[in-house]
Amino acid sequence: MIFKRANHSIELIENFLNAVDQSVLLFKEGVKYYLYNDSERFNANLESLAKLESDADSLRREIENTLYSQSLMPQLRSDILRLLEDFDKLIDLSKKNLFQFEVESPNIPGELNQDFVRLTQVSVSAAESVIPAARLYFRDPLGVKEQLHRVYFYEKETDLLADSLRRKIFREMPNLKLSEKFHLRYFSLHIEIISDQAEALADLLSIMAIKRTV
Amino acid sequence: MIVFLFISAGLFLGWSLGAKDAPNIFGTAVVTKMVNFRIVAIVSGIFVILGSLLQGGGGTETLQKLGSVDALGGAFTIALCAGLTVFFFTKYKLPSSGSQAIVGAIIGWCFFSNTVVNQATLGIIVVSWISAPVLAAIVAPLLYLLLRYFIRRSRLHIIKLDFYIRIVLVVVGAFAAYSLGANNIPNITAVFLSAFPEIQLNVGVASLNSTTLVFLFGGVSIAAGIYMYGRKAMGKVGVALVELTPESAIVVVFTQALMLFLFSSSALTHLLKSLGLPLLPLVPVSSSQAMFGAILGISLLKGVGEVKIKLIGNLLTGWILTPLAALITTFFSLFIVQNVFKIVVSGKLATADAAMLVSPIKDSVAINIPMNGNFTLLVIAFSLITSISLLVYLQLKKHQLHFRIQTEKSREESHYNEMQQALTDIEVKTVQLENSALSTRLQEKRNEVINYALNIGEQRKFLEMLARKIEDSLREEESEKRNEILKVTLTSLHQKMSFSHELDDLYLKAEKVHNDFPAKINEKFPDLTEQEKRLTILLRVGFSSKEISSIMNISPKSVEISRYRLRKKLEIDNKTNLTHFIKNI
Repeated sequence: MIFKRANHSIELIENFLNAVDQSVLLFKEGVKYYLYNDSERFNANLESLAKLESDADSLRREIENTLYSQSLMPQLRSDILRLLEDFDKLIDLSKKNLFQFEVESPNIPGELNQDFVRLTQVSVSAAESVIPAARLYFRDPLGVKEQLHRVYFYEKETDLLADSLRRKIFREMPNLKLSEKFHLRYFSLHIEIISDQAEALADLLSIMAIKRTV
Repeated sequence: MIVFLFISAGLFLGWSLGAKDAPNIFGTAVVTKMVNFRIVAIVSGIFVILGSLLQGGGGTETLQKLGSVDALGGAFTIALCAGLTVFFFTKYKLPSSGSQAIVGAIIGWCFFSNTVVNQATLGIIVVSWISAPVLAAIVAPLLYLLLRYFIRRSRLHIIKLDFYIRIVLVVVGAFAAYSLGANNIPNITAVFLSAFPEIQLNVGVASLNSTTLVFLFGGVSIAAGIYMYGRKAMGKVGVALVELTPESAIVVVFTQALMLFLFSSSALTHLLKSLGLPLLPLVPVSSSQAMFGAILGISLLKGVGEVKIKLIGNLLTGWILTPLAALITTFFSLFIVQNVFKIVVSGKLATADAAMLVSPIKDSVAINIPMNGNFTLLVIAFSLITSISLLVYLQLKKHQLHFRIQTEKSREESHYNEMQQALTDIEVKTVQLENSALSTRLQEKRNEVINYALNIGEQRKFLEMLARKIEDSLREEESEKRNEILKVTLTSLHQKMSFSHELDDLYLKAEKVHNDFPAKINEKFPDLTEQEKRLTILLRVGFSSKEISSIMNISPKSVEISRYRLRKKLEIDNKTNLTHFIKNI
């Protein structure tokens, strides 16, 4: 009876993390579809992402209510809720940024496709690596640190790729108008911010893991 | 009645003890809100009383041996002074111990009444005070390692672990309460037992003698202290424990309970005796100091840097300051009680001065604790070995740290290589993706070129055939035959104009672009004719009616009629746009 409630709470957290995982994946695929002009799939991803974001919001609220109403883990509760809120921000960012592609339809020259794809993949890899670390936090906090190495690595790589992309846009593409260059710079930032959020999550997770192991 | 007035001091001491030691039992559980205080108070109350009744005898005998207080007035003053010392120490957040306060007070009484302090017993008591935290510092890390190993192995989810920890905290707390009752009850009862009058009380089925009554009163007073002042004390003193994780707290509470249990279990003493092993004396020890020992042990385990000097300071202050304060207070209080209130505080002094009130003196209870002469030497040797082991451990820890740094470095390097590999994989994937997109586009373009070439060839053949027919007709002299040839030519021209091939190509391309659209149409509207299906594809692609009329080689009016029929078959109302509807299928 006691574990029925515990299992329900565990299931809610797992579902929430699955939603985060799926959202970054949809973002990654969505950007690719946009770059290769597959508007139908791009729109489908956009719709799925919007639905996922609203589902994740209700999941987070339900977890919050469960943790407080059943007075679970009073010492760690606030940390865990903050972690889930930050993960929710990651979903929000993925959705918002993919919508920016749809709303503003940036004109991305074909020669930059490869750079944008690579930037998206590395940035999303940072986010994808922080999810297993969060899962580990709940079961094996000592293993978290090892997993977080990946996040920091991918975040650093994303910064390097984004800088080199922006350098290419501003220095090696004289045919583009300045307004177009600005526009492309914003989109590189939209993609880069996913890994920044993953890094913030990794910082929070590493402190939380230390708290659990001290 | 006067007896109960005197005993009230003992009850006050018990109350102070309960209030002071409540945080040691359930501090973490309550302050971290993992367990409700009311549950804690009830559980610990029951177990404290059980412990004092079932296992409180051993330590009492040792304290009686130290100095057998033979007048109720003396017992009252000793208990009151010890109680006040503990109370004020607790109130002003100073480390204190009920056991040390009562020993200090008894020695104070001995000084005042010119009674010789039993030095062998005092030696055993002091060595036990040192051994308890030292032993706790050794046992706690081992238990902690064991618990951590099991938690890691189980890979329990934090929420399930939380449930288990709550249960274990209550169980361990109950054990700690039992041990506190068993070990610390002599602090309250020892001074009264020899001065307490013989009473036999029949309560229903049970019959309580004076000894049981004293233990019961003592147990109840500790329970009352926990219930009445425990919550407040937890807020003040429990902080040291709150800083620990619940897992460490379980080990710390369990270790201090184990120490208290070991130093109060007659059964264990008998067992050790029967096995021929060195005996543990039955002495009231400080639960706080056992706890500090346990915390220190765990801190050492986690890293030398984490050793808190403050904890060691607390331990030493408790050892020295508490008995000293109790001794001085008792000495002066006894002076006041005897000379101002004219109350007899010692049978010995009363006999000499022909006192007003002399309490009945019982024969001293035979001490069952074996006073092994080698015991002190054994403990000193043990402490030395412990210190040397500690030094060796610290040295090993240093080496281990160095080794760990090296391992960490090599692991980071291997991580870096792994990441580089992952990055290269991403690079390769990106290039592959780009290549596949390019090759698809290339294939499409190639197909288009082939189609154009075939088309040009076909058109050329057709035009040649047309030219031949016209030449034939011109050569024909009979007007009927000529008309016949021209008619046939015109028909083939019309057929060609229907662009059948091109249309098929167009439909194929449209189907390719709009992936599963034809399948969806077939599934949702199976009644549509081929012509209507083609119309839906052209509408989805975005052709206007005029363009459709020329593609399908029918008049614009026919297109409108076809659209009308299609609307009916698709069951669309007048308000909905047909093209919009088809695009959303």
